[in-house]
Amino acid sequence: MRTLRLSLRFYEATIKSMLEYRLTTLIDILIMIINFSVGYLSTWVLLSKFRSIQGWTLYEVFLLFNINMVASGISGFFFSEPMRTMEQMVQQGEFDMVLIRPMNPLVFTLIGRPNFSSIASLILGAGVFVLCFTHLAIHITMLKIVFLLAAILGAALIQAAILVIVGTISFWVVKNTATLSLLNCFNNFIDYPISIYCRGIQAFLTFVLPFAFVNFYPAHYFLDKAGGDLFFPVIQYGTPVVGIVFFLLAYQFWKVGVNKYESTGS
Amino acid sequence: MKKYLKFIQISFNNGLAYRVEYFVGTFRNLVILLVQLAVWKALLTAGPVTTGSGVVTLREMTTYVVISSMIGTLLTVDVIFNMNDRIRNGQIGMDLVKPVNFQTYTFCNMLGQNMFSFLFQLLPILVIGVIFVGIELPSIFNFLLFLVTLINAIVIMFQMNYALGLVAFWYMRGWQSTIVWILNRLFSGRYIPLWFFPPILVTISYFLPLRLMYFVPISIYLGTMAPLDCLYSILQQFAWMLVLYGMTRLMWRAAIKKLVIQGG
Repeated sequence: MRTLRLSLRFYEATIKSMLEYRLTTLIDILIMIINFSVGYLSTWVLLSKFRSIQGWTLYEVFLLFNINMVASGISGFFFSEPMRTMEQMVQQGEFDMVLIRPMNPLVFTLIGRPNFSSIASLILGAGVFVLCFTHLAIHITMLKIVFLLAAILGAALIQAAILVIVGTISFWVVKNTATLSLLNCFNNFIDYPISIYCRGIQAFLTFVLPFAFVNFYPAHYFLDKAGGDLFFPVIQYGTPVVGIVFFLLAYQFWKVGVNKYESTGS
Repeated sequence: MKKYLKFIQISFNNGLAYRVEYFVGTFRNLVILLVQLAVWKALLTAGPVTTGSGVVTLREMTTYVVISSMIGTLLTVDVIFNMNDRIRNGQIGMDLVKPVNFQTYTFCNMLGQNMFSFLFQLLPILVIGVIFVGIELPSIFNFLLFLVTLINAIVIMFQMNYALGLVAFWYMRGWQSTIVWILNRLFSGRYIPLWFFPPILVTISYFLPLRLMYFVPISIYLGTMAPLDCLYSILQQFAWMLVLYGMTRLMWRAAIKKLVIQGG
């Protein structure tokens, strides 16, 4: 409770300082929106020519893409800035400051350092969801909406866990930008339904790095896709659970990293 | 001349210092290539597709994607980031004191980096493309034309980035380059050939130099472009080079007049 109150205070302060640079923030958000829109435009170009990819139509692929965009936006808002700069914090011994606070080190590392341009994916994401729902001929029940929300949170936890893993590796590896782009590049796989890949890649994205749970499995359930090609049918409901488990694993890894941390002593 | 060769060599050696980044970059390129191959395989398994400019087969698209991925390793952005940093932290002052032409110096940096990319990023893709994917090979004539347009593309890419980099003299945030990069992803034909574009987007693409980067060289490689169009495209490339050269010269002259370096 105290943590929550403190966190809110921290975020309030950063939001205030961010509003000082209103134009900069706004343009950053606008550029992110343009960036994602070009992604949607590319998909539109491709699928207005080909109609569908592996049985997925334009708005189904939009929904797939959108779940990941919104989930990454949520995790990016809280995690991307702190985890990207972990490398610097460890190098310059600034992490000492985190350890002497009467607070959970991960929470203290995170709070008050939001990445505002992530808001772009929430704004655009809301629009695209509406667009998808109006164009998709699926029966949307209350249960499905609740599931979709839970799945987005689970997906956000998966993406957050990836960022925590990247940040934690900084405790061992001094230069860490490479790890980030290495793990990030797997995100390229889930821009399309994973059923277009060979079985080995599908298994990797399901059982090793659970990127398939970010958008493919929830979309599979939400869109009532015929379930012939899943490893287990039950897997399509798995995102919320996988998100929590994967995040807890990442958190354990983080704790190992923190214990290993030795200050640079400068 | 000798000093510029040295710059190329230094820049090449710098690549060695960033081995890990390059390795990751290579891996990333291969992942993206794999995704692209899977996408086109899924789209074209049903059979070839007819577009405004002819029939496109899976094998043709596979070749397109592999060549595009190879070109991608040579058309890099680092020039802008490097310039932005130099202008922002005032290092540009030191560059101006040296008896070298800044544009040539920056170009040499890019060349050295490109040579490194050629060896450690492009060749792996080529080997994989030839052995595992099976790409089409062009006629000798088409291949020579392809090389000409590719070299032109590298020069235009440099000039474009250099111009965008120069903007930092007036305006330090890098928005302008980000926007161009976003547009480049679509209009250059890096991922989707312009064959598949709706007419309106094709029309827009004719006003941008971006299609000359990927789409034109690859179309020539594949032999899908009519001889007259090839000639026309190469002329367009030279026209853009001239325009961009004039533009960067003017920008540079204005920038130097305006530049104030603080401290020392």
